[in-house]
Amino acid sequence: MDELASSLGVNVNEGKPRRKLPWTLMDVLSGNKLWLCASCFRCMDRCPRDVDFTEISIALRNLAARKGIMPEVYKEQALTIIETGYAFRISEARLKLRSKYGLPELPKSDVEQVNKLLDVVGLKNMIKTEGGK
Amino acid sequence: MKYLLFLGCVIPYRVLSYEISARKILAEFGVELIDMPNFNCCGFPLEAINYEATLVLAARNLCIAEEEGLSILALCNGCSETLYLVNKKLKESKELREKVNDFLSNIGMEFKGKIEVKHLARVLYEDIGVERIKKKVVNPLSELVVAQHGGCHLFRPVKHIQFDDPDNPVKFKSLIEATGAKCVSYPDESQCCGGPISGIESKLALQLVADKLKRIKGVGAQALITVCPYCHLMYDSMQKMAEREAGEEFGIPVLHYPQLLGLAMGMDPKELAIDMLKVKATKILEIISK
Repeated sequence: MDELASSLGVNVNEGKPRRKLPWTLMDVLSGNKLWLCASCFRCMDRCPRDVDFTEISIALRNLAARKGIMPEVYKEQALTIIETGYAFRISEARLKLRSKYGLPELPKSDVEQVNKLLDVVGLKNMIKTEGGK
Repeated sequence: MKYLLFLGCVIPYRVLSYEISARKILAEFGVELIDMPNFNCCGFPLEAINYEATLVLAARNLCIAEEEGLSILALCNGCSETLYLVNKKLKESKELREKVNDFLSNIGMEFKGKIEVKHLARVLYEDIGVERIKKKVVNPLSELVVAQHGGCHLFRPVKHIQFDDPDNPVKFKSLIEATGAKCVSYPDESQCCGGPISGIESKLALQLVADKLKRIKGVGAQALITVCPYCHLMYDSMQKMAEREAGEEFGIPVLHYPQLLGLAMGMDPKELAIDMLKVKATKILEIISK
């Protein structure tokens, strides 16, 4: 339990890090265990040989995503960012609550600029070709 | 002292109580906050699928801060860590900077590396300082026993962030104890809240939540103190679900650090939006008003 969400190696092998190494690249990329890395950096901080595991985990997930393998929740969040500039759709009720509590109005994000950037790095294309809206 | 406030998305989406209480206490210490105009998502949510998207989203926010000529204060661990790391990487690597600036040229921006990024806890510890905080405490919370969950990205990766020890964050604990409350240790303090995987395997995330709350209860803590909206969502909003999952009741109120400090500074619980918490803090309010 301790390391469930914090160690890629443990996650991929159901708690037994030494069980069946090495996996093939496609095993790693297509399984959902890869996405259970919480990017908490704990493995990286604890590695006695200074291996940047979290960075490797990010690279592997980027590779999987480029092959079209990614959990639905990531696609949804990417779409929200493309459409609003924010990672969540903030409801009217929340915005009203802000003024009730005397908080300043939430600035509108520059969706046009955000889209241009996400386009040049290829994100928009990734989401579109992978069955996004 | 003046900072550009980076609010991020989780706070306006669901955790207004953190923003309300943070603004209140910072004002008391004379920290002037300018809200960052037309900011976007910090970039963290896209890191797993397209790291370049994270780089450009973070860099755009950093460029806005440079234009404003102000360093960034972020309330969220995810935002502060992402903006901090991208800022650091772009300052240190000419190659990466040129690549990102090439992307940014499409919107007429350029990263120059002129500002810093700080998490709220860091501003409190490094800029304001524990001694100044103690001087503002008029209602010491000496009857209160709490535990801390600073959260992964406040501390990690340690070699880059270099703020505090994730397993025993003495600086963060000294901020908590400045309020007069006792901050107790518990096993495995640096375990993640599970937030980033809650959308992938919610059961596992809830197990992580239950796991920590169980240990905190075991050492007799009456409340958990956080400085991240996502960690707070997990321990507060999801506590009922975690209880169901674990078949055990916890009833641990989860306070944002600014709420705890605000109470010690004699502020009204309503002013600090303590009534917005999902797990009611009635019991601890009774304890501290004795």
